[in-house]
Amino acid sequence: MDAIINWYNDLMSHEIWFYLIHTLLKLVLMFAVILAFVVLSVWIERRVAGWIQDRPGPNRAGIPLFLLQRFGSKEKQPLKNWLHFFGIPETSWIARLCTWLRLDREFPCWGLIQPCLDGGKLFLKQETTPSYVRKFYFILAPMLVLGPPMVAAAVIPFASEVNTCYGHISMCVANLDIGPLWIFAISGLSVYGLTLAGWSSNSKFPFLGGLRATAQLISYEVAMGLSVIPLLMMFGTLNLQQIVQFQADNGWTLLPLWGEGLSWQRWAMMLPLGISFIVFVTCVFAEANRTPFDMAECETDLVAGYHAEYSSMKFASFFMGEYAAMVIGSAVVVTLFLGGWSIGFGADAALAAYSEWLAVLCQLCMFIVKLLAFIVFFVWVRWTLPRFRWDQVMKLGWLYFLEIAVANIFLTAAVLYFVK
Amino acid sequence: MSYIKIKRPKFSLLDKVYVVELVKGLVITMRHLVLSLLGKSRGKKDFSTKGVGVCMQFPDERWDSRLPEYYRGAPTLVRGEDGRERCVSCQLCEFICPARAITITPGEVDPTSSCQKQEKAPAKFEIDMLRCIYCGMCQEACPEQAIFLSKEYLITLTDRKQAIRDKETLYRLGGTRKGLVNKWNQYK
Amino acid sequence: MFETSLCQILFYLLAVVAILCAAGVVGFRSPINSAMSMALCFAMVAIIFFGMGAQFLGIVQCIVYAGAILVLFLFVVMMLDIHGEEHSRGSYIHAAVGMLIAGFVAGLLIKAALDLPGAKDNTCPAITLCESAGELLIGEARQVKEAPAAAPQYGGCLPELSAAAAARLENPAISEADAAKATSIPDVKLLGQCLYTRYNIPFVILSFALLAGTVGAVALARKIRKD
Repeated sequence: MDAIINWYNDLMSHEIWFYLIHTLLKLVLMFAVILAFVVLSVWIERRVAGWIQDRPGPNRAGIPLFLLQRFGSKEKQPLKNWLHFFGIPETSWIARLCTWLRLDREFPCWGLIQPCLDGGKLFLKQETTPSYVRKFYFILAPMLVLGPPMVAAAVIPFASEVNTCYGHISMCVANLDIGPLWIFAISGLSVYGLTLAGWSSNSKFPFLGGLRATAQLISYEVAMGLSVIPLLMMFGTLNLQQIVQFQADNGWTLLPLWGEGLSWQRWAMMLPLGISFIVFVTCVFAEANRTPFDMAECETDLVAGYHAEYSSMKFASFFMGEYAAMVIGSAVVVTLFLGGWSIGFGADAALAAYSEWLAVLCQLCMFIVKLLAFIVFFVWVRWTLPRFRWDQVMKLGWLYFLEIAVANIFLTAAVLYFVK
Repeated sequence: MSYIKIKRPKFSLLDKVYVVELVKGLVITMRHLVLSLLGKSRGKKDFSTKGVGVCMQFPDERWDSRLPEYYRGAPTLVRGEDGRERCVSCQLCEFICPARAITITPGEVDPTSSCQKQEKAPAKFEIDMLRCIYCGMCQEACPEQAIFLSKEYLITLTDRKQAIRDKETLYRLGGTRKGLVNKWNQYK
Repeated sequence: MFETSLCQILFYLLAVVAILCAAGVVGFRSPINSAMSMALCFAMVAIIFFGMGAQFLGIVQCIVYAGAILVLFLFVVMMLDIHGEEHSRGSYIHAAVGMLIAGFVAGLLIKAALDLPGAKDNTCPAITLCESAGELLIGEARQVKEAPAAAPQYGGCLPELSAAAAARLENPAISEADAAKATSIPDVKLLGQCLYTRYNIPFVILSFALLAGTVGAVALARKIRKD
């Protein structure tokens, strides 16, 4: 036992091994969270769509508890047996709660199993590759769509920093000095996947979808990059961890209600920051290929867009890539504008003073809650707005958002100059 | 040829900026969301269902009692009050069936039958429920009021052969109908 | 020792892949293959920049070249009929002229690289880059000659380690713990200072050249119809 502890101490006190181990752990956590969120956001999308349209959405799929009866009794109501086993009367509030939670029928998943089952179904479906496709790029394309959002997530901080006895851990896989740029660069690479998918399918509608995707993503990347510049001018850093730390101390970008955020100078900044928020969020929608902007796969014009020729798990990776892009987009918006992991109202510092690990845990939960809220917003907008026309999309991107973003930079500079 | 000039709505600047309109739309959808979560969706009262939204939880709640009079379900054959097979095997339904679901093999009239005036009776009468499109043309065409669409809508099969309903099944599902068809009455 | 060697292995690996991809750009028959290997080449160069600790440069390489320009290339190439291109044979004269030009440019680049400070003392390329840039920024604050003692430790493979090493590079007196706390080198600032002071005029001239190119492209694309 002592040997193991000693070995562990030696290992962790070595700078490089400590760095490698905690980075690897964070990497695994990040990947798990993102993949779970991809699945979850599919479910959220379908449920919220259902509620908005006055129907329940997928509420059935669960783990049926009657499967368990094989291991236990042969009676068909496992709940009753369980209650009996623990000696709980059937009229007690526990039994009623269990019934309300639908425990008497199935495991209470509220349909959460649905996306998992869908994934399983897609995995088991027959894989057809048309004979006329260009095989290499046809296979490469889905990987290029799914990969970049995962890599882009590396710079997003999901909690603050912790000092352990072995060293300092920043709760962010790669604490780079170029956070937002990294995200733009890497998630911009997913355009290769769409383009190549369209081209290699060697078929008209996928090709048109690929072209549209390319044109749209490039157009909105410009406006997106320019729209965060006011933000960076205010923060004076490109490091996302520092940006969030600043927001935790001085009020979220869009909610400066504590710390320095109460000064009138900060509120004067709200005008350019608000414009920047609207432009940025719209661009994130366009970059994630979400509904008002899902030109690349609009089924009324193009059969299914760039993935019309794909089947089985290749199709599923496009699907997952789209949702992963949505999750990352939400994470970026939350990090830049809504305070990232910070709990707000000075609670971060107080918690950190009490226990750093507790603070980190609470911040992680806060980040996840914010992320979920923004994903719901994504879905909400999708089921509110009809799809734009192609010329409207291009006009909005090049004629309005680009100009607004550039003008906003000058506006920010003016505000910063006159206010300080 | 004349052309019609479509009247396009005029948009004010506020509409063109889109943000206000967007917020209005978001409020509408959010109201629907909240109301359906609270179980107070519009039209819910007329449509007594449990759960979220105005949506029947199918296997638990069924349409059966709420089906309208004119509902067109699976076609069935009926007997008269006197227990006579109304079908005289004229094959009009077979001809008119757009999906060619009906197959009739005409045969002799049963010697024990009460009416010997009709020339034929169906030896076999089969409806392929995989082909049937529930259009009701057979019911419309039948001169004998022998084939009716029932309210049965839940047809579940585990085998293609089960889809073919023979004469016995059709008569069992159809039952008897009131109102005598006296056309073939021997006293007439 | 460990860091330095790992860094060098990675550097040579990436460099070899980049060169192979560059050869592929010329060698492939299919324009799409060429474009894709060019993208890979850019990505490799970007990663090499990352390894050197020049994160901003790497990411700009990624955004501008791989993310925008090459996608546009691909956009155009995809709309061409590439079957004819795939089966055509280029002439030897073209190849010879191309080789000559490529050799000239390569010679210039090698000359420029060898002229960089520290290029001949066999130090890690990252050090020389940072020093030459840092020289500009820090100037009198730090003597370049004092650095080599700390220099080999600066691997630059792992961002945080490189930050610590860079902090040590600037001030060898500060302790390791303080160095670890310092953030990585402000290469955005460094680059901005370089671009807007020493290389301001070439920068402006280049942007004018690009502007002229854009205007020219628009002028060429707008066909004047005479009907």
